[in-house]
Amino acid sequence: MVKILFAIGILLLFPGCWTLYHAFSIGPASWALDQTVFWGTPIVNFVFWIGLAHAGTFLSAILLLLGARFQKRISFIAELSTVSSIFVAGLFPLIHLGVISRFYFLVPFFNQRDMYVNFASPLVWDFLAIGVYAFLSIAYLIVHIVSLKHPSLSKTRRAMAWVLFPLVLWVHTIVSLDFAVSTVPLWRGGFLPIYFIAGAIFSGLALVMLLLESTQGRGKKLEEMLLAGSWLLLAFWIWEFLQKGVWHPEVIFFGFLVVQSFWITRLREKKIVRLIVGVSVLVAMWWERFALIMHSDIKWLWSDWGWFALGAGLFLFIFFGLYLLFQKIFPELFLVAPQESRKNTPQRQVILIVVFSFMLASFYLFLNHQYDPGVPWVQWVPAFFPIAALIAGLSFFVLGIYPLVPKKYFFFFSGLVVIFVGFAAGAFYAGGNTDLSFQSSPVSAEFISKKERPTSYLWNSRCVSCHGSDGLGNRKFIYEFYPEPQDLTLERLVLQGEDSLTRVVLEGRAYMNPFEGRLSEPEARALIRYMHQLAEDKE
Amino acid sequence: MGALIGGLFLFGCRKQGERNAKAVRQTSVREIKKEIQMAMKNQKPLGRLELVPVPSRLGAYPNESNRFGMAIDLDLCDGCGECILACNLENNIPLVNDYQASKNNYMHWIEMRGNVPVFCSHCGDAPCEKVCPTVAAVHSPEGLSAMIYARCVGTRFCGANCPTKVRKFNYTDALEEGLQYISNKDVPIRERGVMEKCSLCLHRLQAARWEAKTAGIPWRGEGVKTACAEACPKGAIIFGNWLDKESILYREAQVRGVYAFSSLALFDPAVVYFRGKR
Repeated sequence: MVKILFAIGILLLFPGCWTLYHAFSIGPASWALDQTVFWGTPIVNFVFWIGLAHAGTFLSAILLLLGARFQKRISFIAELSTVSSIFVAGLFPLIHLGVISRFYFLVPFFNQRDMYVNFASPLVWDFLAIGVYAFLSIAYLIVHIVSLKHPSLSKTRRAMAWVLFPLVLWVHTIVSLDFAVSTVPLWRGGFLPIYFIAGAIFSGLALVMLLLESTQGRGKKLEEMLLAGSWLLLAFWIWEFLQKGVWHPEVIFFGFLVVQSFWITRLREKKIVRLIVGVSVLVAMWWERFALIMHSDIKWLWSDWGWFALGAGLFLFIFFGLYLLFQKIFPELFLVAPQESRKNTPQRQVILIVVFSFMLASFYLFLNHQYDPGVPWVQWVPAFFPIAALIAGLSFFVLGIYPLVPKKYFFFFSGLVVIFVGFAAGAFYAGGNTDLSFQSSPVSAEFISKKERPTSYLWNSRCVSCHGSDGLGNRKFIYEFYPEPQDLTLERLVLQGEDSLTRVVLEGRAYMNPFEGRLSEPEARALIRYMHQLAEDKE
Repeated sequence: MGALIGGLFLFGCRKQGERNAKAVRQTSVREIKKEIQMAMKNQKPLGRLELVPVPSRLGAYPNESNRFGMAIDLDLCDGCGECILACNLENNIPLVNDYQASKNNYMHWIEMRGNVPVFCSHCGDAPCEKVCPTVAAVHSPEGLSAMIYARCVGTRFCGANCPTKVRKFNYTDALEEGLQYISNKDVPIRERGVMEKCSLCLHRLQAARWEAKTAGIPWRGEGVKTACAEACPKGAIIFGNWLDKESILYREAQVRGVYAFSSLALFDPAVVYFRGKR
């Protein structure tokens, strides 16, 4: 069964990759969009897949902390599904972009372009939160695998679960804010975050149930949770109907009515029924996101169908690929483990790490605030938690792994990581090239250099930007871009003499630009005399 | 803030020289006219308008002495579409290919809705600027809602968040498909994947400002008219400075009914509609 699904994944990747190639070469015109509907099926798929990822964390991390009994058997599958779904989910926003090569503009990090992200935009929070979530989910999976050989690591696992617990809720809240902060009436609503989280976990439960059925067997508790989730979602759909007057009978049919067949024991015992219910929930939740995000009768192109192949193919490929790999290397992952120890990391260590990560996150935000003081503090708040979570999760991870690995290797690997991160940060800081060859010159040369124009025109157009209209220097500009120019005092001008100053104007000196070609010699001379005049006026 | 204003000067960082050489074919004015006719046949209905106060000083820039804006006199306008042509030629607006045309996806910055020209309102509290992740949509101190094309990554959040849906996304590479008509060297050609919209003829304002600066005289928007205002045969489009009490725009607004789209009324639009007597 696993091998068949893996093969299906590979088969689906062919049309999927073709769609991807098509989207990269043609751009957003390759799927259904127009000049009023700007967010299309890639965003729908993104929200869908990121939601699927959350259930994995929910089942492994949150239920681990709550001490649910059944989790050990499914936690590995759940975590694997999280990692695979995040990868798929992360691909879609990239596809969605108009200019994909500029995706790094969204990273809230210092750069030499002197461009900064807009922290008021939920997309920036999104980028940050999902990046952190993906990173920590992978670390969490690694800790899980290593903890099989070294049971002492289960303490670290619990600590990381405590970090992931709020993070997963935070991530999907931020995804919902993409919509909730907009002016589109259908997207607005204070209940959107909790609605999105409920929908995400509901759809993810269905996915984990399907994966469990196809690999190990039945998860009875999952079915019950699915049943409970369907009632929760029904409440939200009623809420949405009462508030906005929209309802989708097909979503209620597939997402609610079909699930109710679990009440009938005879039906529920049949595997095929359980599979149908799982798929039906996935369909309903996809359709629900689609109805919310696109809410229009825009005609689909073949690319819109291709995303299904891409998403499902990539997911099956990664999930079952890793599954088969781990089955070979760590067969003990698939056995029902004994009751895991519920020992926690020592309290002092936890407090230290939490304080440390909050301080470091505050420091990061403080630096950012120094960089772009125009942005009010309150807009940094959504970024605060993901960064703190990243630092805390990473600290727990490193502290947990440290005693297990020989010192030599530890420093070797951490050195490698530091070098890699340094390179990445440096490459980001440098960014791509921006070609400045397009120059519009608003003031035509004729306007400045007509015979009857006074020299002040020349001065105003060529010199003022640095030297200021009165020759005292344009402080506002200089402070930001250049060192201060010379003081044009009368004494200095007289000492230097007209000839040598003319040469300076034409050929430049130190930070002074050469103006040869932009000014003729008589014009330069006229400017020197104008400087004299300005200096005299001053005195 | 300094970074923002500095960014404004990057307006138009484009590999134009290289790209112009690649252009296979230029379209003609005749084709542009044909496309405008097609676009005008398929009009959306005009949204609901409501009375708004006369645009005034921006809250974010209390010391600024200019706020540029426009008004369209609905009593004079007969929806002839001359403004669209003038705008297209002024701003190098590309044609669209047949597929986009069949979906009514024109790039025209001005579009007719119910025979009324509709374009970006340059809201003082613009919803598009708030959600742009890369600060490509910014507000200038003088009240223009500007686009920095070189910063735009094409998330299209601004378009989704604009209540009037006047932002246009470049779905096609016009230069490559030979749909570009380069009629104005002062306006950069937009590449595929960036958003664009009415710039209130930013380049004309900039040129006049520089000339005034060069001459060393104070300037409050004298001598500038947007391309559409210039082209309007009825004189129904009035461009001006809302803070200049002497400008025709301001004086007209005192005696006319000032309207804007209901969906925008709370966002302090700078482009409004005049109708009837006050």
